[in-house]
Amino acid sequence: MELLKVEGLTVRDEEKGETLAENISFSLSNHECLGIIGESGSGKSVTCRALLGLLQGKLAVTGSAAFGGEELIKMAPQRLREIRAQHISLMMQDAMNAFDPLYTIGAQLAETFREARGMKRREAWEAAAAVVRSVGLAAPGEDPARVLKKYPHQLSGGMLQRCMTGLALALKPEILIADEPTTALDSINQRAIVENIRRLRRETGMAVIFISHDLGVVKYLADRLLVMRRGRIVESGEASEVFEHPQEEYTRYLIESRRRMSGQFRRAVSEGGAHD
Amino acid sequence: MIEIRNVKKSYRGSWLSGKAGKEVLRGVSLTIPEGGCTGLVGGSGSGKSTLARLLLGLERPDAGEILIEGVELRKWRKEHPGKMSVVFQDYTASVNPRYTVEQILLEAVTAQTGTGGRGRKDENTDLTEQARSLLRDVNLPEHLLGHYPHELSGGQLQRVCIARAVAANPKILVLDEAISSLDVTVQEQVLELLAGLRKKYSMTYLFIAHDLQAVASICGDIYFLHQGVIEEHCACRDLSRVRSSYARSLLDSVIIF
Amino acid sequence: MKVWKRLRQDRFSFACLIFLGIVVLCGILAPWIAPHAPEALNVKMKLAGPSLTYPLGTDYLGRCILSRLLWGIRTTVFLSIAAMAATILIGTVLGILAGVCRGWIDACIMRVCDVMLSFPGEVLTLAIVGVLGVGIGNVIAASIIAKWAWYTRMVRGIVSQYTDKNYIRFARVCGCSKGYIIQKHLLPGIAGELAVLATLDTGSVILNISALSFLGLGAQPPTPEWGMMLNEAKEVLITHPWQMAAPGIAIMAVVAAFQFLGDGLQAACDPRQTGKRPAMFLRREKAGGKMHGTSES
Repeated sequence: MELLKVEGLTVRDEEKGETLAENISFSLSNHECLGIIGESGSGKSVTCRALLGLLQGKLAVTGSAAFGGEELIKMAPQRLREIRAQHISLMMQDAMNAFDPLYTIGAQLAETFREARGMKRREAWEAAAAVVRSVGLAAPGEDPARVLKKYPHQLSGGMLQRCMTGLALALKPEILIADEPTTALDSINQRAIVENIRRLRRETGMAVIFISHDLGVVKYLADRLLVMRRGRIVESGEASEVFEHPQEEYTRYLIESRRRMSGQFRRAVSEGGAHD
Repeated sequence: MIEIRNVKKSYRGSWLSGKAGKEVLRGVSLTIPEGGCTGLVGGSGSGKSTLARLLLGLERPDAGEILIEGVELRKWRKEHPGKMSVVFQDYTASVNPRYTVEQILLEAVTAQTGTGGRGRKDENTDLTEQARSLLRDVNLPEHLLGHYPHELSGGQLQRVCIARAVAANPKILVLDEAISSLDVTVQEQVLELLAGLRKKYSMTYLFIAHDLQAVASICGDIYFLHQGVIEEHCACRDLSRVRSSYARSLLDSVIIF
Repeated sequence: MKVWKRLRQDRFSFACLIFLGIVVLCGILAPWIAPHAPEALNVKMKLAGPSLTYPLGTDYLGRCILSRLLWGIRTTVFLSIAAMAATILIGTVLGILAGVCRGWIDACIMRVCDVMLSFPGEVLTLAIVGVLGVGIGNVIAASIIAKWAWYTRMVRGIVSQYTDKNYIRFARVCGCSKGYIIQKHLLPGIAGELAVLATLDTGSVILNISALSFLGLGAQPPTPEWGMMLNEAKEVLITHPWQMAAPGIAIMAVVAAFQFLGDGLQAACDPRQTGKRPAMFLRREKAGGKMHGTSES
């Protein structure tokens, strides 16, 4: 079943007369993971923000994005907020700025549950504790309050990002939009986040839009792939197909760059494997 | 050759305000061979940036010593002014927004001679020529000389930062997450560029990053720093044979493309 | 230069700037454009209304109010500006010294500042005038003493913000001298913020000096000074209330002009208005970058 259908989405900056995203069309089915890759400034984030009505300033959005029969573009802000609370979650790169430094992690997680799910105070706190456990920040026997009672500056960027992931997933959205969630994290935290997303896809059948310039992670997660450049879609198709047999020059260039960079590492690891 | 011996650094807490102190480096020792490229890998909060600041002389260690060519760091820096340089992660904060690319590139050079850019006319044309050749070194077009930082893209700006870092012909270059904020395609180009520059100017690199794949692609040997302690040191080609649990889990969780 | 351009576009602030320019010019040209000497008495004509000879009338001693107003610019406005300049000079030097040197120099300077700041400004001024004696010079000195600590602390705050910037770290790594860093990176950085503060504050210094003169602690008769003119007009408040109008409006207009100009300057210096695309875009993204759709509700 088709969950989200985007057609001819265009974002223009009227002030400067620039087009940030042009004629973007894609669809997302139940249970599917769509990867979007491209360099910075290719319009990946802008597209997703436009879907959720999170663009600010004088950006004109045209086109259509249908979510379960409802049109997201030009939707009333109130309804859009409900959609964001109930159905579509967004996860961002910058976890440091996403948390308010004045409140503890637990308070902020619980507040979100109370707002979005109408939970009672105690119930929300339990849910927050479950979040911390689910992303492995508190071992099963450990008291999650130890993490919940901390302020954002007391946790590392990776831990905050994991909290964000946990929260986004605990809301059990139908669609998760993850905008470069693993960039700037070390591989352990990166892996934890990616595995969490995979697990939840298995458990709840949530659909994911995963934006990243890290091809390795996208390849690991995505079923289908969208390659963007300068606001346009360059190539799209089954992820494995695009990675194995890229049709476009630009896609090949992206893949080659990444291959070259990780080449030494792959060699070191596999050679070592031969020694063992 | 850089030797860091049992260096400790902690940030003082305050009894009055009830702030707890924090021990960032708990006895770190490492050796960086001359002309080599040594990687330092660690997650956020592992103390790798603190170590960089100590090596750059921006802060002083609480205990232990840092020797360069057998000479104590501060003394070495006095004897060899400008022979150490750095590229930071955050390229937008790394350049003064009021200056043009040319002024940024030549800062290290003019500051050494003390002319502050007010030299004689023929000197100035020499300097402009030097700025041009620096831009050529990092594959940027020469017309960028008169531009201001905000007119450049992230990749271009980071290349300007690299060019500026090598301008005064340093012997030691510290790269503190220098490529982490860049796109993968640009990362690859910058890594290649860095490798080329190292040969051209025979520099010693300390390459600090959290991305193991990037480190492996440029470094000869790698140190793993975890919570202020060096967990392991290995040559890059022996990467698969690391023993310590931290290095192991870091390695195992890499999602290879 | 960009600041100047934006200030030009802000018509209201620019009008304030022109107005203040005219006031300063009038002060400089006072000996030539004032119709009478400021101290010239004409007892026969005392408390006269506006006329051709006395455009704004005369005060209780028969002195030309317009002439006194014009000469008063020299005392009131010029001395205030001078006091402000001196305050800023002291504040900048000490602030940079504290911010750059750190360590015990920083500790000493800041503790002295703490002590100074723990007195209420007005009380401190009154106490200083009380000790030094009345007189416009002492009032100026008092206003500098009361304000320098505040500026020192401001400058130190700005400086320590800047010293954490990577480009200053880079300059230090390169072995650039402290003098070079201060001259090339710090001063241009703090100049804008200081200009805004100073402009906003000049107004309050004018009020301060006028107020003390009004109380008879500042300028002494027969020096023309706006606050003192108000004081003299107060004596005949019941019979000739308009006597207060000229100096009162003059003080109000000049102080307001400084305030508005300061606001305009602040807006002109604000990096959000520089039209630097990357920076603006980032800011916008951050603003939209709440933790979650839900946390916006």
